[in-house]
Amino acid sequence: MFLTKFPKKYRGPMLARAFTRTPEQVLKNYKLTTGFEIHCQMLTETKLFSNAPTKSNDLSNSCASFVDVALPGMLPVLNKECLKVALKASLALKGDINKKDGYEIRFDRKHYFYPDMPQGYQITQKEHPIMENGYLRFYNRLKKEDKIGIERIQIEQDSAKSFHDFHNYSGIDYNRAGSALLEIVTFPEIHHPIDARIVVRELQETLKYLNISTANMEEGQMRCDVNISLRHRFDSEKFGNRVELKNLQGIKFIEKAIESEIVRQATIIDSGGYVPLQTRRYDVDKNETILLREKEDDLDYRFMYDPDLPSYFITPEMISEAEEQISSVPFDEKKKLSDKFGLTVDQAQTVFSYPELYDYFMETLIQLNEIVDPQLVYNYIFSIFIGNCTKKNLTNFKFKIDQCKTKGNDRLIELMLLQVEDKISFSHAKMVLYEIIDGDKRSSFNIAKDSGFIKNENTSIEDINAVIDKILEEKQDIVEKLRAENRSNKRKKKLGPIMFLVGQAMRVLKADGDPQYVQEYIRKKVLGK
Amino acid sequence: MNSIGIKRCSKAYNSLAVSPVQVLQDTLTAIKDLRHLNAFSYDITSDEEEALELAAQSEKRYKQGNPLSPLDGVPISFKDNFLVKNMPSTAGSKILRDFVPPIDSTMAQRCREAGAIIVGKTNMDEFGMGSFTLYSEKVPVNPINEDLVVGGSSGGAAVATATNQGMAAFGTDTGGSVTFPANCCSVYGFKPSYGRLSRHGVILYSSSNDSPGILAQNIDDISSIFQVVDGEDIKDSNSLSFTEPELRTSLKGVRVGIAEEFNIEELPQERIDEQRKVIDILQDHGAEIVEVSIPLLKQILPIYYTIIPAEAASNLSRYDGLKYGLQHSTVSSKDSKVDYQEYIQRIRTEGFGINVKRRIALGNFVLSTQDVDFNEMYIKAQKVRRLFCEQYNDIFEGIESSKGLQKGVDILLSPNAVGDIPKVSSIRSGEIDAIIGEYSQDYYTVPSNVCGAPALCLPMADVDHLSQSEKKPAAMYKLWGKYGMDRSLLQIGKLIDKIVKNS
Repeated sequence: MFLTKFPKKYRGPMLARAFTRTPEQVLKNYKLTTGFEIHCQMLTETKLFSNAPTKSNDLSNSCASFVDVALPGMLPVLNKECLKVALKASLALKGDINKKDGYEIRFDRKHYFYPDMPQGYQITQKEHPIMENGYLRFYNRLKKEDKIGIERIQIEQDSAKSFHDFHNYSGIDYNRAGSALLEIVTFPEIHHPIDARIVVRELQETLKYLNISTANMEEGQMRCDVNISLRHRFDSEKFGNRVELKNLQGIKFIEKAIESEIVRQATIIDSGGYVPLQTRRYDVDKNETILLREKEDDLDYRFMYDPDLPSYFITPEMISEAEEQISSVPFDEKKKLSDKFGLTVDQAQTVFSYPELYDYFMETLIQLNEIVDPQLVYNYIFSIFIGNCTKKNLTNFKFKIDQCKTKGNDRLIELMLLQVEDKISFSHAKMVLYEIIDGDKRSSFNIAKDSGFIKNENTSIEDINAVIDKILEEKQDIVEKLRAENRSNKRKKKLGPIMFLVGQAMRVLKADGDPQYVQEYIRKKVLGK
Repeated sequence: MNSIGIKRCSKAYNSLAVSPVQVLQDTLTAIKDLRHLNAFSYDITSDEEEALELAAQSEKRYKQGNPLSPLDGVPISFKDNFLVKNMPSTAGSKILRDFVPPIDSTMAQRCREAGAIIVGKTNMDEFGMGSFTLYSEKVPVNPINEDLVVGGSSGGAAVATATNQGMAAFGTDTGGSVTFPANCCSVYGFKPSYGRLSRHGVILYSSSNDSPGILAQNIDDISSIFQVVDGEDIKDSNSLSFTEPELRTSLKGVRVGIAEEFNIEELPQERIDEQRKVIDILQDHGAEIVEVSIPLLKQILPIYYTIIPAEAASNLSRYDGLKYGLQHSTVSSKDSKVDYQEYIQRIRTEGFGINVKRRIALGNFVLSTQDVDFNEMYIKAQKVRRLFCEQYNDIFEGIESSKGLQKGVDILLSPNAVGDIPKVSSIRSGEIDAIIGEYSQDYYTVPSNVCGAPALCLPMADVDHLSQSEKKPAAMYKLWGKYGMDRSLLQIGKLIDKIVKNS
């Protein structure tokens, strides 16, 4: 770091570039600061201020009322359902529900002319938003509990959609115009691209879990803007202005976009350049950010409270009603999975990546509590079941898991219990599950029995060991091959010999044998490990 | 034709002495005969069939003895900024040229449901911005004296009412737009409490001040209409229903407040004399005259002229020529492809008139935060407005001060306009500054809008509008009511009107 002692002019650009090749290197030298502005469409039947249905994908302009197209004389009428949904989000994110003004919220107009903004202004909340000063908890990239502050949540109108694929004209679809959005603004408190991705994902999960929004980023139900700035860790003269990345297209691009942007910024700063306040977008294909506009060009929005709408008061009844619907948030659930059931943070996260199986998993866990190890339940559902379904391209997991139940018998639970009671080996249990996934209607026990997978109760472990010992004696040549293979220096040793021996033993043992156990026993016996 | 008024008309309908069809035909004849007065921007004389059919149905109902309401079969008109289904509704602006709404405003709808027959749309200052209806494509003519302005912005409505082109007219009032034209044309004008009449389907100019209002030839008619359209509307979030105490039957003990701020330098002796006369009559009939003070009243004009342009600029930003009204093909374009910003610039430049542009520019300036926090000005105006509302309300509620308990008043009495009714010629020649003249005219009218309270403007004498040889309009006065006490105000107004006119 001696370089930093030298005045700027002695540092050549070549040298500077050497320091900024990868995001990791940038992060070593620079402190990254990011914050988010997230818009999500609220899950409500009708729009924020009109009674048109919220169905932006229906036939163009079939879901737009006179209010939505800003017919003269039309007035906004607040859909109280939106208030309830926004209140849920506000409580889930632990904010002050604008208590300072006695639970009063108001709406403001933000003015700008744009073809997809039929009123010439957007109705939003500036001075009296529904919530301020909240926070979101998450497990950070080091699997530690962490949290990010939420500056505010505001309720606002969505815009219409423009289409430019008409000859010399643009088309406007007002179906989306006036739909209810929540804007969630965080404080700039995240300092790593991975944490950035985790935070947005955690927020997305929270919104989905509480039925606030479907929050699908690819379909635009959730849109994410990220503010990014860099400051050198050791050289106070080296920093860049805040750059806003607009409208990232998916969770997976958040990390990449930030990485590509910090490399760009660090390269400029290191070569003595200046990073101006800008709004940029991320190009997925090129993996680089592209300038949209300089901040100086920002419009004067001429904010004004909306005189067509009164103040609304959030009553204690409304708050307790909302509180009933948010007894927990995904973070609580993950924490419970990790603290109470002993799953790892990553496993808990995996559980949340399949919301359709979440309820089933939790119910099963509780039902089998103290009978079946949660790890086993996790394995059955999230590695074997999901793994086999995915392999067979069966993506409707919910449908498939429901198929496991026949006549009130949950065959998956039946199977786990068979294994726990040591009536079937894990390997055989898997094969039974594959059959069920393929559409077998028989009970797990019957599948296992008919396949000869049920262990003989009278067979002891000594009997099994004796069978294996006998095979090893008979197949000396293979045992030698196994030893030779083990002695060789090949990085990847052939599995042929050991699998052959296991196969021979299993042929005799049938259901009583567990291939995994047999393999372990042979290794121990022949190779001493 | 002499006006018989809604109340008497209703009686005549009920007794089958007069038929709604006959009254409608008389009204249509009046409209045709008085076309030179430019009351209407659109009337149904070109297509009378539907209205005559409605009148026939009304007649049938009377014959069966079950009319829909006292308004059944009564011809009325609407100011051009009300949406009336299948009639052009342009708010007097070129930017809404040929705009025919697919729905009715709540006012029009409630009137129709009560059986009223809408005969047309009346001329107005563009978007209601003006006090003389000179910012109208066709300028209405004052039936009493063609050299005097008709007032504005509901000028056409006042002319129509004064000349029986409909028995009553709906106007809108932002800062005196009903009461001032009523004043100029010597008819009764009523601006209700803000929120009492729905603004749904009214092409708004200043959302927090705009209120539908009623012009008629007597207070009973105003009450009949008010009763039909009064009350909450789910389509207007700011609308409310009110309950009122029992109405008074005599003036005895009625407390009439006179604010010391009503007495201003600019008030000519003639107005003072007229006021004196009303006060004397009131005292003779047992009313109590109380001197009160509303200190912020003197600050109201600047507050008002800060708020209304801001709201105007905002409300009018929806007119971009994309969705309705003036469209691309009507805008001369040199090149085939015009970008959006350029397009709306052309539309708005061509579509808006000078006074509208003036207020939009002013409003954007007020709301701008580009260089200085001018927005502060707007926020400060809102704060003073709230304080004024408190002061105004205190006068009616009564306050405890150092001087002891002061009982509240029932109404306030003041002149309606400061000076004489201006002459069209003086304004056209520049002798009177149209802009400043307009602003200062509003001293007595604007406060009622700023605090949302009801206001009633009454003539001191009957005027036979068309056949008057003197060409002299009646002296007028204004009664100020308590917020939400509209029917009480109308009732006290009726009692006062009777004795003032008979004295």
